[in-house]
Amino acid sequence: MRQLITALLLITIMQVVSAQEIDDIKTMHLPTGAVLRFVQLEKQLSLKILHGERVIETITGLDNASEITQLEDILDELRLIKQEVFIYTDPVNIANLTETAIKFVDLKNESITLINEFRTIAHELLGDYNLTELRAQIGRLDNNETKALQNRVKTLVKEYNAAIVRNTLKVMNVNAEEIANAIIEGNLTKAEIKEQVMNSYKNIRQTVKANTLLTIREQIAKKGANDTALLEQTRNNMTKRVIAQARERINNVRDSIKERIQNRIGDVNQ
Amino acid sequence: MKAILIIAVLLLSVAIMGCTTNTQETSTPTDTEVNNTFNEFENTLLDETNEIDIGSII
Repeated sequence: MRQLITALLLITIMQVVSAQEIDDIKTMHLPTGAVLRFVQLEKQLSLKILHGERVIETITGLDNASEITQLEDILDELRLIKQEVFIYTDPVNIANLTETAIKFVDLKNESITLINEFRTIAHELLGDYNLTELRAQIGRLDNNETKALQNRVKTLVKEYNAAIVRNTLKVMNVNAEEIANAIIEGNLTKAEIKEQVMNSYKNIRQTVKANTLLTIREQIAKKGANDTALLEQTRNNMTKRVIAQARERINNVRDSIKERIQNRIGDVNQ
Repeated sequence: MKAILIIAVLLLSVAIMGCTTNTQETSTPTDTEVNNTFNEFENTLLDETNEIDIGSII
């Protein structure tokens, strides 16, 4: 029964997440944007592992200690995925942006599948336990690792925006460093950044305004088309890739996790 | 004479077309065009709320 639920969850997730994927991968045309997404995924995984540990503690307190093995296995799998995600948080390891985006989508989808599986089992084991109260408790949890990752996210968001502004001001033939520094060192909102770039546009020569605006529009349209093409590439052979990666991971884990992964591979194959 | 006249008309046509194209290229974009473009530009930027979601553990 659980295998059937897992298979249904996997199929549903693969369809639902697709719409969100375009939003996720739209930053991945730049190395900074790719690193940003992996750091965000690492932060999310850190938080979920922390939350999962608290859920297991709660279930253990309910005298269900003998039944928590599956939940512990899932957390171990999430830890393995987190280790893999960590590799891509270093720009040195990002050689090909398309392959990196595909890797990101696969690791994220695997994480979602495991978290859904964890939730289903935990709900069964928690029985009548007050879930609202438990959610409130775990919602307040964080640690030094998640705080440090959030700080890195903040920095990367600024660096990404600065890179976008540099590309746009290059079209206008305007020196971007003053605005780029203001973005990196300050707390400019998206609207404020837009205002500054628009002011630069207003100050360029009247005779080149039309062509400049056209080039900016072309850049945006081209990026939109590239995002869609990239999304298609991430969807191609997704199931095969997920199975191949799960098989690869199988060599590094203990028997109980191996069995669970093999069950998932079986579910996906059906 | 007739041939010269035809060539003159053709040259005049080419000159008019060139002026038209040139005018189109250098005409100032409207405020709406500028605002729309920079609104699209703003959409390509990120803020900290632009998080990824992998679901809730409970």
